Amino acid sequence: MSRLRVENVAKDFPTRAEPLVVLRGVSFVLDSGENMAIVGPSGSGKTTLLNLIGTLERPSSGRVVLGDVDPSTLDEPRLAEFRNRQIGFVFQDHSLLPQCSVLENALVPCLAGGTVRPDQLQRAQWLLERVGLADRADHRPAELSGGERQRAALARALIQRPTLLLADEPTGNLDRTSGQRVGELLVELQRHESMMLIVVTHSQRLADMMSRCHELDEGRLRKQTS
Amino acid sequence: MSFGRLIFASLRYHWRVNTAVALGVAVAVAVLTGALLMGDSMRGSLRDLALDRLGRIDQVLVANRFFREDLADELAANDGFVNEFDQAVPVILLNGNLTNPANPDRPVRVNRVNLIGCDSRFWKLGPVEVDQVNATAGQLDTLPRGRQIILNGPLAKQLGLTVGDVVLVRLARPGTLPAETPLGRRDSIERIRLRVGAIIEPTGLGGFGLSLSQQSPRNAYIAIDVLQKQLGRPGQINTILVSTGRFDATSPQVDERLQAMLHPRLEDYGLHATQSSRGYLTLSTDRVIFSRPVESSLVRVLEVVRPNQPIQRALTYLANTIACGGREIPYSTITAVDWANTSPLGPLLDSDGKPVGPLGDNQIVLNSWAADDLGAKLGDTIRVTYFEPESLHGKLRESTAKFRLVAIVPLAGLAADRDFLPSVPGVTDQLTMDQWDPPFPFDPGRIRPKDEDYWENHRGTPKAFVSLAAGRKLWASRFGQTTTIRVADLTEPVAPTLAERLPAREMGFVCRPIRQQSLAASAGTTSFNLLFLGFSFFIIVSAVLLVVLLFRLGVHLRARQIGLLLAVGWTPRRIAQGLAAEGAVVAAGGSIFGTAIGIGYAALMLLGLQTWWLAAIVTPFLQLHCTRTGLIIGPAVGFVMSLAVIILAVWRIGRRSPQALLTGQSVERPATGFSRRHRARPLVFVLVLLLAATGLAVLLTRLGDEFQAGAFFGAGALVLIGLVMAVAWQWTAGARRPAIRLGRGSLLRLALLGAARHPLRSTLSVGLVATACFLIVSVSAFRIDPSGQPRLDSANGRFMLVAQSDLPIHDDLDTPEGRHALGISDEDNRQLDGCTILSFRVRPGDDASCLNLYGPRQPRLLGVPKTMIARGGFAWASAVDPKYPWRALVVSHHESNGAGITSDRSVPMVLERDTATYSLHLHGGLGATYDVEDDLNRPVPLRVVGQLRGSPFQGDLLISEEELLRHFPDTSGYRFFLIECPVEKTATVRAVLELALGDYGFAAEPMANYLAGFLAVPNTYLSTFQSLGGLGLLLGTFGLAVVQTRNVIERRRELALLRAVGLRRRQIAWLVMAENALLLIAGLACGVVAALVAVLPHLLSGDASIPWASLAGTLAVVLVVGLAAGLVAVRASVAAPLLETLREE
Repeated sequence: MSRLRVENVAKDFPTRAEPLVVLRGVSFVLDSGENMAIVGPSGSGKTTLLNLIGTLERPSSGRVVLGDVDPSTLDEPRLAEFRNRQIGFVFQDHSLLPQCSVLENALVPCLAGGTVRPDQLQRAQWLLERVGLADRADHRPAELSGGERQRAALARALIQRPTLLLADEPTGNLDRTSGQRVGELLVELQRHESMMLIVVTHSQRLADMMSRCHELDEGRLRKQTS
Repeated sequence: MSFGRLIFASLRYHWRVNTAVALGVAVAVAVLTGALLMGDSMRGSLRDLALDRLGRIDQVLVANRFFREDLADELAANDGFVNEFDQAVPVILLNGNLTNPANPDRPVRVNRVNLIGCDSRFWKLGPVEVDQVNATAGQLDTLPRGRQIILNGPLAKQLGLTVGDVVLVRLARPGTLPAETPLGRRDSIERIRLRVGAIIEPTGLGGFGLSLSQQSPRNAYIAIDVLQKQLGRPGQINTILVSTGRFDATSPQVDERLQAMLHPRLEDYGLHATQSSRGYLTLSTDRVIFSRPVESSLVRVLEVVRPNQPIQRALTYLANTIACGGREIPYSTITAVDWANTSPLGPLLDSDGKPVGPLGDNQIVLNSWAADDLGAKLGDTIRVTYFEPESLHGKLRESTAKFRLVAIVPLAGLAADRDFLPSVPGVTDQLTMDQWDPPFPFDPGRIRPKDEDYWENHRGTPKAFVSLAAGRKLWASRFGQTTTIRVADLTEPVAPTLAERLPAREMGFVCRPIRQQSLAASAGTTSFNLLFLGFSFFIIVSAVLLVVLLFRLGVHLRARQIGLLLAVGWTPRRIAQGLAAEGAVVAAGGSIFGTAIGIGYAALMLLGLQTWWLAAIVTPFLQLHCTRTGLIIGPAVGFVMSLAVIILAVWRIGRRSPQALLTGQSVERPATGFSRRHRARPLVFVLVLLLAATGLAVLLTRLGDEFQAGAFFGAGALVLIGLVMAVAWQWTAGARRPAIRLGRGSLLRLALLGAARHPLRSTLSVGLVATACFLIVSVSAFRIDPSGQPRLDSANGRFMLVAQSDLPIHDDLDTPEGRHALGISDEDNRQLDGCTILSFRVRPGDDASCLNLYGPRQPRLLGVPKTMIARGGFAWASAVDPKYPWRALVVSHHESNGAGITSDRSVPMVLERDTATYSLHLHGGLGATYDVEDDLNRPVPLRVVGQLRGSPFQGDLLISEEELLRHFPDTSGYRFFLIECPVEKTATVRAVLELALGDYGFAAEPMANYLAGFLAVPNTYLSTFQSLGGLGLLLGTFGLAVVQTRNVIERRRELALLRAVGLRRRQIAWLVMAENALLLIAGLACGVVAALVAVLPHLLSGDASIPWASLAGTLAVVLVVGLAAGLVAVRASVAAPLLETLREE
């Protein structure tokens, strides 16, 4: 059973005047099968926190431990492999490869291993079915609606069976109905895969779908609801 | 904030990419300017060289004979001359060979040396400085004197001589009479032993010569009086050099004015006027027989100065025997003349005092002495035995004609005129007949006492008379048909008026505006501007493409700004204007910088030509000439070109939505693949192209070589277009193909998809690389290897040696007898068994081969012997009669066109295709005409009936020997030889002939070496093209890298996403590099395949000498550098900060 431990994580960015402190000693724990939402005003550090957890950025102090691994101790190849195996991302913008079909986009993380195995192909097809895109597998991103693109991005995020799924404003660019559908899918698949899910959002509706919700204010994390 | 300030701020802010664009413009401008400066430098250097070697000499007065040295002084004393000219310096210009006799066993001999007989006046004409002279025997201005000789540096070096050494000079003593007549003497070879008094640099007058070549001539300067004495021509010269005292004396018609100031006397023309007490004037020539033009001029002038007076022409000939019955008279003269009916030129009275009527063709009149001696009566048959008037290969043939005796005239009055026989050296100057020293076979044993008595009393008085028509039928030749011209001169002496009235030009005295001609020739045969523009074509194209790519990259980097400007209300047109204005400033800066680099580029190219590519110009003589034209046109064209492509590049910007641009999307729309409806069209197009290429190739195998090469090149080009289109089509179609599939290779397919993302951009890159590669590979195949096997239809024509002699050889080198006559021993003759030596007559002229960069005024003419025409041989580019190409030389025009006799006087000519195309610019192919001038500057039109390919006749015009003699009758002997012999005997044959014919300046060279000398020029040009093309190709690969970098920048978010989902940097780098490599390899592959199609005929014929190693090296370097350049894109892809890139949305 995996656990995410965020321990006293701080992050500041150098500026010409004085360092800009974004996060001030954030700590929390998340176990497998749990999900949580992080909300807060713009500039509160939500995305920064998500990127730190997702190993896209390193903390100024404190640490993030997933399972038994502190990714900040890994070199670039190992870190890339860690990210590939353990973490799935869903961005506000779908970030799909426009030249690839929906199915190919779902398989993109598999390229890190150099080859696409049949089980991976099978899983991609299964995921697309789950997110309702089975009949659009050969379509290009340009031929999909915003909601469909985000669902395709969700399939891509889950292809490697990650331990931790991170979603940064996944419904930010979607209408209410599409946003609702994506939110439901996120929770549904998270539960099905028994993974951890952290969603950064401005949407209270999406936040309400999570079992926990924390508010980030002035760099500090406060529990909002449970 | 004004529009201008915005542009300025933008220029400053985007200085990096603007600098890159400016550098691209600078490269294009530099190459353009450099190419133009190359042409200017070539012309300028040729001009400088020509003028330097001429000194102050502006006009040259040359004659086809020797004339009085005093004529130069008389010319200088002319009032008009004093006003317009400065000096008239008499000189003798001859050719000869020099030998260093220091080692008698292995003497060093140098042929084709310009011998200049001069005195101190010569040195005042030019810029030879005292410090250039290594004199020990006096100052330069007093040299040469006595038995001293001055050598120029190259000659002294070749001979291994220094000041004080002895040198042996061999030169021909020109005869007065045509050598190939029975009375003519072959040029005897004179040998003079002289001591080197000075050695001068080959600059200024040290390089003086009438024939222009960038190579330093080998000049030797001998005291004029020594030379005159040696030639037996005291007080005579053959050339007057005229200076104007100013360098720009090239005013029109100056040569005509100088010609008008020239007043030669009759003796300068070699004419003699003898006033007869009988009231007529007899004109004769020291040539014995008047040349036809001189005869025409004389008669024309006589008709003017003595209107209404009869003019009588006579042809006096030497009969070896006059016989009647069993009696004969040896060595007598017979005159062919038509007597006038009235005094003083007739009538001829017989022994009864009755006029002898007009004679028929078979009638003869004997004088009483001859009739008595022969015991001949009227009606008897008189046999006249004589040598034919023209000898061939030194052989005289004897013939006999029969006449019926119709009259006997007393040896008195008109019949006793001894002036019928002109002066014949060795004959008429002898007191007795047995002292005769004629050039023909002479048997003094046949001379009887009574013959001596006749000689003593009547000298050469004719013993018989025939009609002029009968005489000309037997004894007229190419040299003339008249030996004396007589005109009644009852009132006053006609000789002075005659000399004054005779047209000097028609009499062989020609003024040549040598300075003007040299300046004209300095324009050269080849436009080096265009040549180097061609060579640098791919650098220019690559640079321009680079400008486009860099500029568009810069624009792309500003996609958001453009989106913003659109969002706030700017029109796309206004944005394009702003970008174009910015581009104009950048292009202007690049042009200014490029001009400076262009000068350096030209200097570098010149350095290459002086060293690495020296074979293209033969000798290093080039100096950089920065002309205003080159420095203005190059940058201006470069600027306009760059600005044009920049404007084209920005024109469509702003067509995308502001929202798309604001989100950082490309200013271009990516490929989305073909619609089903249009999917087949590109494939059909490509197939049609490939089929057309194949069809063309198949069809053209049936055509001649000259079409094949060009057409296969065309077929190759079609294949190239087809392949590039196929690649583009594949990409466009592939835009919808799955990249990520089961198994391995998905990353590579993803790379392919990336390359196909913008087909136009990628196709341009591939097309550029492919085209450059195609041209480099295919042009390399035109490199010719001279070391082919001896074959009749090859470039060597199965001949093993090419030989030339300084002095004409009259005897037949192809027969043992002829060789024996030339002094070749029996033993050496045996060494030559099995050899075929074909001799060609030579009419000297300018070197019109690729070895001479000056434009030819009058190329050298070769007279092709009948044996060569019958034998055939050599490779032909085109011919009127492809089966028997040489025969067209002897087919008259009315026979060849089948339209009956026409007024076309053109002479059939064969020449090298390259000479026709590049040197003479005869682009009409077969049927094109080219005029040469005969001895009297009259045009002789030559018509192309065949073009040779790669033969040893480069620079020569070949006409039949018969035609050469018809138009240049004074050409005697043979000076160009082709020798066919067994391969293993080549060295022996060469050694035997060179040793035996050393006096003639005979030098043989192996055919392969001779051809290699010519082929070095085009082969070097090909190397130049290959080098500069390779450079362009390299530049093209940088363009490719720019395309790739732009692709990466456009897709940086995608690449960041790949990293985010776990792909390593190495994998991303591999992906980007694979895209670059795919474009590069696609370009190279398309180019090589198309090139191989283009050079197929060359490969199959075995003529191609493709430098596979250097080609493979070039392509490998391009591949490696291209991949290395791709690292820029790789760096851009992996160095981009992951988070910032992801956040950009």
